[in-house]
Amino acid sequence: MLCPDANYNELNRTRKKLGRWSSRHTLCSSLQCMSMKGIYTAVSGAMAQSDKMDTIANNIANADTPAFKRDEQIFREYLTSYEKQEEAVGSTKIPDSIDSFYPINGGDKSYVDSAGTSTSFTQGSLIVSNNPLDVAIEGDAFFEVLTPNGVRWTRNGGFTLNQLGELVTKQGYPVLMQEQRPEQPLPSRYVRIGNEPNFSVSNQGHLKIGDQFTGKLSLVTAEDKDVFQKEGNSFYRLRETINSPVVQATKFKLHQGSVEKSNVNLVSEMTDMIKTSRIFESTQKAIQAYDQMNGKLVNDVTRLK
Amino acid sequence: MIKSLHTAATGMQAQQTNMDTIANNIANTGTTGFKKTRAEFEDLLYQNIKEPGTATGLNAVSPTGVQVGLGVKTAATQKDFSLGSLQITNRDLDVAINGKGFLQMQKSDGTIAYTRNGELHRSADGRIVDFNGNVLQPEIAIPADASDVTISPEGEVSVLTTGSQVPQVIGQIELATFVNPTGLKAVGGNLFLATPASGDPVVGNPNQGHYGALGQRELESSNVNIVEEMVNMITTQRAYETNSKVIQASDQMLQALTHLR
Repeated sequence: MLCPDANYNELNRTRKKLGRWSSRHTLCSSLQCMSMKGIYTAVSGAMAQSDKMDTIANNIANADTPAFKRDEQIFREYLTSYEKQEEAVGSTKIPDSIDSFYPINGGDKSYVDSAGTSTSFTQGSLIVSNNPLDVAIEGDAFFEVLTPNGVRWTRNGGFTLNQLGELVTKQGYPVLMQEQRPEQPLPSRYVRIGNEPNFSVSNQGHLKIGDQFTGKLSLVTAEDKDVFQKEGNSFYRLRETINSPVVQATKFKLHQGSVEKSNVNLVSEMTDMIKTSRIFESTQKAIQAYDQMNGKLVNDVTRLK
Repeated sequence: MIKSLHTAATGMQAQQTNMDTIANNIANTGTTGFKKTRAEFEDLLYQNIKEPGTATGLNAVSPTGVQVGLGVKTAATQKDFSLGSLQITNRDLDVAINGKGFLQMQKSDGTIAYTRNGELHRSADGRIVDFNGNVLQPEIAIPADASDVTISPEGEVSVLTTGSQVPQVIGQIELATFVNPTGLKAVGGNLFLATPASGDPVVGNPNQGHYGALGQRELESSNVNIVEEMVNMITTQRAYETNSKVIQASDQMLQALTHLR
């Protein structure tokens, strides 16, 4: 790097020492700084598009995963002047005045920042499987499951039975019923079906095993869905940075004998992919352009005659 | 981007597994007592590029963080034990199970295997066997002079012997059920083996409790639905293609990178 930020103050001192050179030097340094800074803006764009491509690839790869919810990368403009105090930046912020009609506020030193990944919790389509152990959720709810890492949440209702006759996920983790009293030990909330052939789930989650109503599946949600963070294996865990407690879900309907498909729309993913790939190529062109400018600077402007 | 290449590769692998499963279902459309299989998928772990809560500015923290998923894997291939349609065959030793349960067969190595295929035969020594010579358990021997074999819905096997007008009961067919039949291991030849996941077999007489009734001179055809399989095949092929497009796009992006210089 020809003109990093850290050397800026030194550059200023040098500029003062070489007073008569200053105007030319300023021209050079601003040229260098502009081109070098700009190249990082382009690089940040390329990196952001690369992240986006990874997310699209994951959405497409999981197009057939039951109850998979698609992810989206969210970008934003990131201004370095917001990050540091004026003294730390080393250059004065251009004050609002007639001369600077539009205050730039470090916009010339901005880059793209991946602000976050957001999961789209829209409903996936339901397909009939006729397996009584497949329970699909329509609406806003998550099943509670006890995994070795603690209670986790999932929308994938493709359950099975373990050798003890308990209702478990495909990984063998037991599905939990609603708490009947506070502080109820978790194993007493397992759904035990045993060898009973007649097992039905009402659309509000009431369990009927044989002729008996044994309880209600625990279905929860949160006001702010962003609190659910993906963990893999179709499970979600709680994000600690968002304060939105899980509550009993009310707006849902269960469908026994159905499976929820993923909410990935291949058409929009493909379009996004094309767009991402082209923007990535454009950022490469920008990097090339900056490179050419630097080439001019190094080889033509400073040529010794 | 290198990630997206691998992610798309896992997607193609998963769709390949899906296609293999569908091919096997379609190939076995005409297999007596065959149960279709469904491949199920789940997403792989997520890579946290930026943890939620990291400082992004003077007074700002990132509320959500950046996560990128790493693809898909096959979670399970699940047998669908729904009943296939019953076909009349008019053969004395054809038995269909109309409901839950498996016939128990002793293989030549002594282990017990379970089957829904009730296409039974008489061995040279009169015992009831399947077409591979595995012996039906409990063993039932049909006398050499027996003419008319009757199997009741309750599994009682009776025969008419020469010179007798009264049917004589020679044995009782028993069925086995499992807590988790999807946990059974298919070993080919229409046979399944018990596993720790399926639990131990619970043996009982047909047409009692939750055991299915036996239908003589009937066979259970496979429960494969060709239309459904064809539709699944189309979606699988398209999903496979889409994943290959992701690989192409990622490759193009890499190419753009290498053309920088």
